[in-house]
Amino acid sequence: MDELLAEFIAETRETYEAIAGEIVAWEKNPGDRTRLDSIFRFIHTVKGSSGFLDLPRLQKLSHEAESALSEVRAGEREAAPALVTAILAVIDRISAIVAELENGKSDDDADDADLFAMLEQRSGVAEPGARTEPAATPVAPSQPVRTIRVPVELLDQLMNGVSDLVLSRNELSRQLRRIPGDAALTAAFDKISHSVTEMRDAISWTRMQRIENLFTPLPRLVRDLSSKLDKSVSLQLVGSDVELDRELIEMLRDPLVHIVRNALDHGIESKADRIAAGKNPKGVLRVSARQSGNRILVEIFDDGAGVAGEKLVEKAVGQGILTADEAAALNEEQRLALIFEPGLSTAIEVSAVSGRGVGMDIVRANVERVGGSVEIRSEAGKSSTIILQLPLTLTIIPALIAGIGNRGYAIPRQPIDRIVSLAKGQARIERIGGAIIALVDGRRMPAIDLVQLLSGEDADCDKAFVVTLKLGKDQRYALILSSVFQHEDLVAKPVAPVIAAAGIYAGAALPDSGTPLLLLDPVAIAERAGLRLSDVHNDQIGDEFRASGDEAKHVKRLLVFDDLDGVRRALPMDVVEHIDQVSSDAIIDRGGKPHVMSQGAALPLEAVGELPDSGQIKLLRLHDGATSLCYAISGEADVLDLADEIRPAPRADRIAGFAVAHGHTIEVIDAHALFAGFADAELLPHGTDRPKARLAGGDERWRRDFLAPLVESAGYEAVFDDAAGDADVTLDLGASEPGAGDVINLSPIQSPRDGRIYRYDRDAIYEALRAQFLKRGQTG
Amino acid sequence: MTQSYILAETGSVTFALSADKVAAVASVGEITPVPLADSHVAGIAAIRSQVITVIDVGLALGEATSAAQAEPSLIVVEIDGHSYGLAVDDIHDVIEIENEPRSLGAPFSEQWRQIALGVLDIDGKAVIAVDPAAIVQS
Repeated sequence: MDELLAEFIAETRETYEAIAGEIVAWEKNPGDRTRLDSIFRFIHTVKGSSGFLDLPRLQKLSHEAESALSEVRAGEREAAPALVTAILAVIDRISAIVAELENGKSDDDADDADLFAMLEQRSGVAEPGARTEPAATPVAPSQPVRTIRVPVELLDQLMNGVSDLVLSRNELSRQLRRIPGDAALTAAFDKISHSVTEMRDAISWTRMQRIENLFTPLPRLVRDLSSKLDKSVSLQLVGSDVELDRELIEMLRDPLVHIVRNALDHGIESKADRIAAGKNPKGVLRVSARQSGNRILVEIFDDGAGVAGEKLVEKAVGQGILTADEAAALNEEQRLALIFEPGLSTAIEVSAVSGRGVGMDIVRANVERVGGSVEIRSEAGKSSTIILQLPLTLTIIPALIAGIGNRGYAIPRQPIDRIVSLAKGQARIERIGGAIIALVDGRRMPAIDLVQLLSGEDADCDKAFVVTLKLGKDQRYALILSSVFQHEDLVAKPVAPVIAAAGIYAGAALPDSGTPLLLLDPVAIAERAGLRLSDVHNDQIGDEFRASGDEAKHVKRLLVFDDLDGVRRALPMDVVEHIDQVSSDAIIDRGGKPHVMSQGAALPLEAVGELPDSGQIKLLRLHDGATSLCYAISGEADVLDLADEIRPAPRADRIAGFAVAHGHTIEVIDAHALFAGFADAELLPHGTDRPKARLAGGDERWRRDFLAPLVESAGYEAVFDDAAGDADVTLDLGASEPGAGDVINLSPIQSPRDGRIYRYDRDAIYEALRAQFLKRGQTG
Repeated sequence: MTQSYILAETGSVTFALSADKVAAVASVGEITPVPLADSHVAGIAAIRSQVITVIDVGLALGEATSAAQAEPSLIVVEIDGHSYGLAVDDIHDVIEIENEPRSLGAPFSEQWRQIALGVLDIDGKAVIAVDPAAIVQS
């Protein structure tokens, strides 16, 4: 069931139960104003919510009752017994409809005329028994999703408690490792450890909500507004499954509505103007969300007329916000940024929608209040994009603890690509023209000397470490650190404004050492250091300083786990992206091999034993920098810092060697052999580097709802914009004759003869896509 | 109506802070510095498993630093959901006084102008009452 609807049902039922007493009291004493008011509030709330949720029957019903009650409240009508009876009947009917909704029935157009007639009845006596029975006695409820509402403070408190618990658990685990293993003790600890992890995950999720929640009202808003403005707009929502902190979602609600309204009102042109400009008369509004590093990016794109920087400047000068001289000195970026100045928003605040007008300055203030940022890009006559960057604070962040100078700092683990040591000659640092360039893995990239930045002394380049951060495809930069300590899960809290003003901190945390740690914000540091991230491109330029592939003997940090066949095995920590838990339903069969559905893509799954048929399956998500696969495990995973060397295995299949820990021998899996076990065709590109497949021709809904999931499961990102020239492959259902090159032609006819593929031939489409995929890999 | 104030001392000055706004008085061991923040931000420290921002009141007032000593005394205040520790040289007693801070139209020096709420009469001596939020922002 729709989450919003479920919430509405729960809320209405709760209030209905709560005011049941009021109803009885009001029935006895219709003159009681307090009772009348609470009943009025109830009906008013139902009216508001049902309008929002598009439940016309409830809306009509509550509207009529509200009107009648308004008259009573205004003293224009007497609370005659007949009216009281009618109102009570309406409330009963509302409750009955809500019960039906809960059982999955729709808010259908059943007849409520009987009640409307009762409400209309201006005089007359109360007819005992006229109170209608609920329209339908709810049948045994089909296990409704029960929800309660909880103050966020309570969740925070729980979260803090669990965080402390996690920290104590980590400390205990460290202590336990020091004493000789006692099997019973270890087993008991593992049990507790497992529960703590599960509890932490569950509580973290209570704060998280899919951004879908924020997107839900948009289709309606766009439909209503575009018909009002007589514009034709196609709304695309991308990344609905990105999860965001509840509070951030609430904070974003009004700004997003405002931005979307603005885009429709001022961005997208009228049909006539669009045709005159040679554009598709139907405008595109795309709202997308994705996670990038330790931030969530929400982009609102429209292919409208763009924002005119000169007009903003004119207005700003006119209103005395800028002097003419100041205005002349602005570059295009700064001109566009004027849109966020108070009083300069070009929006018309009177609106058909919620009526709550917030200007772009309020949008910026709201976003910055939670440590985010907002920027605007625009191409005159073509498009404008507003990008909201939001932090991921208040959650547990896996971090790398690094030494800079003589202090420890935390760096979010997520964007970190490689950690290499200059002492071991794994990278080279060059200082040219006042800038620092690092050569790591055969790539040149800009580097920032964090030691210099934070302690004022230059890094000792003979001993320092280089961490490379990957923000996007071929977008890497490096940070130079004094030392690298360990990985740790941190509960990061926002820093005070006086510290945030320094512009390089994402939060602060208190690890179990008791000394507070500052969490660095790599993106902000790059910006502060003057790196133009949009210009950073670092393709591989050579083999120098490339990872040798013979890493096993350097690996000291292992992830140890119980494998499906009961054997204790380990993988190098660097190979493990994260540990996942999926329901067994997410395992699908593709080409006779198990795959896991994850974020719309099917990842190949390695399982050395029988997968459970039901319940939850624990997975390790592995990556080799370019591709990902999943590895199913059965038990608790643990990080092991290995003091000894890994003893190489004599030509054992897929086992790189053995490690000894706590007196047990652990098989260390050979990651190279593991990845080699999959044909290229099966591996999907890792992370966001997915090639684009343009879907063209035929019915748009079919492309979006039928074709896109298949395309995405083959490892592509589906794009629909006809103008997208940079697509890696095109699937075309409309072309009159088969095209050549990177085009897969689809046919609506079963067994077509012209080289096209029947549009429901899943296997053939999948195969063709994979073939293109491989071709791309070989040429690119 | 009587009001409670905490009297604190930094460098040569004694000032008063409304006790309503004070969450605790504590001392901390180690303060972790925060590079690139304003100079009056002494760093962050942990008090009762909570990270607080330590403000060097001496520097904020344009006097000598008051966070240099081994275990500075902190007046813990909460402003806009964040906890701050105001590091001072010494914290005296909490006193109850009857009068309200009065501006007296005195031309305070620039450092004080932002943070002074007015002058209190304490045992016949004039003492400046300060606004903790202004100290944090100064």
